[in-house]
Amino acid sequence: MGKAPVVEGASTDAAAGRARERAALALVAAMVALLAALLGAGVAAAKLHRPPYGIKPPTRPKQFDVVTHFATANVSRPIYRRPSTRARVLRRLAFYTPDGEALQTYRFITSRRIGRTLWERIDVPMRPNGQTGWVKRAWLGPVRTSHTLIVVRRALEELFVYRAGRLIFTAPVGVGNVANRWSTPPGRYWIAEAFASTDPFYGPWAFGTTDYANDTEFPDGSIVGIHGTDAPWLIPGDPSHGCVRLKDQDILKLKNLVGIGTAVWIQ
Amino acid sequence: MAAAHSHVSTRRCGNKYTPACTKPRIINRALSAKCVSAGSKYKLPKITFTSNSGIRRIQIREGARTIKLIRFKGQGRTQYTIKRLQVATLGLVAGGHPIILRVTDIRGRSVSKTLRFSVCKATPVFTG
Repeated sequence: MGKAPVVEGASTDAAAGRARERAALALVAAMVALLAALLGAGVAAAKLHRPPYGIKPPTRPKQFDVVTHFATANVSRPIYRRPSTRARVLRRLAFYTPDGEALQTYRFITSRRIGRTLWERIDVPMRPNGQTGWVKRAWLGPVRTSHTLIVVRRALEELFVYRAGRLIFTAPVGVGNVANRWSTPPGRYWIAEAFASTDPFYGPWAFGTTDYANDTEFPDGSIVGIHGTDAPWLIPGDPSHGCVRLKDQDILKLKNLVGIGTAVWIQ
Repeated sequence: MAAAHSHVSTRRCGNKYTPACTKPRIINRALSAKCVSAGSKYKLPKITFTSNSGIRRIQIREGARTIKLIRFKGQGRTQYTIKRLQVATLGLVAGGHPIILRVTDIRGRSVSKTLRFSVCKATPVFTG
């Protein structure tokens, strides 16, 4: 008896089948490897975009990240319209605010060195609002800084307090009555006074700003204040002669958050 | 025998071995602009008096009233710092008040500086 004949065609087919099988497996493996590589690259890319050392990207709006530099006067010298002692005089540096409640502060805007003299451009609290002038740096005392900002939105009848650009407090307010021409003048000012009040009309605490109101019936220049009230049912609203009124509990909270030098934006 | 001459100078300034004598200086930290409640005490910031020739006398006055008077003997001191000095406001009227600082060196030169503070009024004067 001889051996069973070898069917060459069958073995070739099996080998081809195994080869195809191996090729399919290799293809799948390659696809898996490629996918893994792509995923790894994506993760790496995401890691690259993440700031190093745990620094978070800024989320606070820079618009309200305001720093105010201010100082009091050392001497009563003239404030000039230009950085020159031969320029016209705007007024003189004052030691105290018009009502004597605090030392008068002046806000720095910019500086310029002319020869060996450093001149500072400052905001001058006076009528009309928005006056600026130039003084020598030596005429002003050491610089103080404030990082807080009060924004009063008259249309919303709301007050917002920011520290380093971050909102930390908000409260309803009563603003100036437009119908009687007592509107609170808009602009950028700062707090010049802060003191306890014994007059219930002004509540337990009051801040004086460098804003001058349109109502000239009041003496001492009609300073716009931020204070409490003995009529909280009028808040929010527009009951005042120009001042910004808060409820007593809100002014007491505000007292602990802001102080002299805090920027005040009336919008 | 030649007499021995000492080349050690006891003067702090003003000869060929030392720098020129300068006027005394008064350096203070920023004042608080906020008013002080009537009857409380006003805390002065840290004040440093310097003189390269030597301080003889330091005087601090509130108006005509002397709050502090310090005298040094001999060569005096080149630097003196006053911390946590308080001024009583009892009896002071509302409004601004000056504090005069005066330092005199051993050569008799004086320098003055005026600091100011305000006593609060009870009623603000705002538009309301």
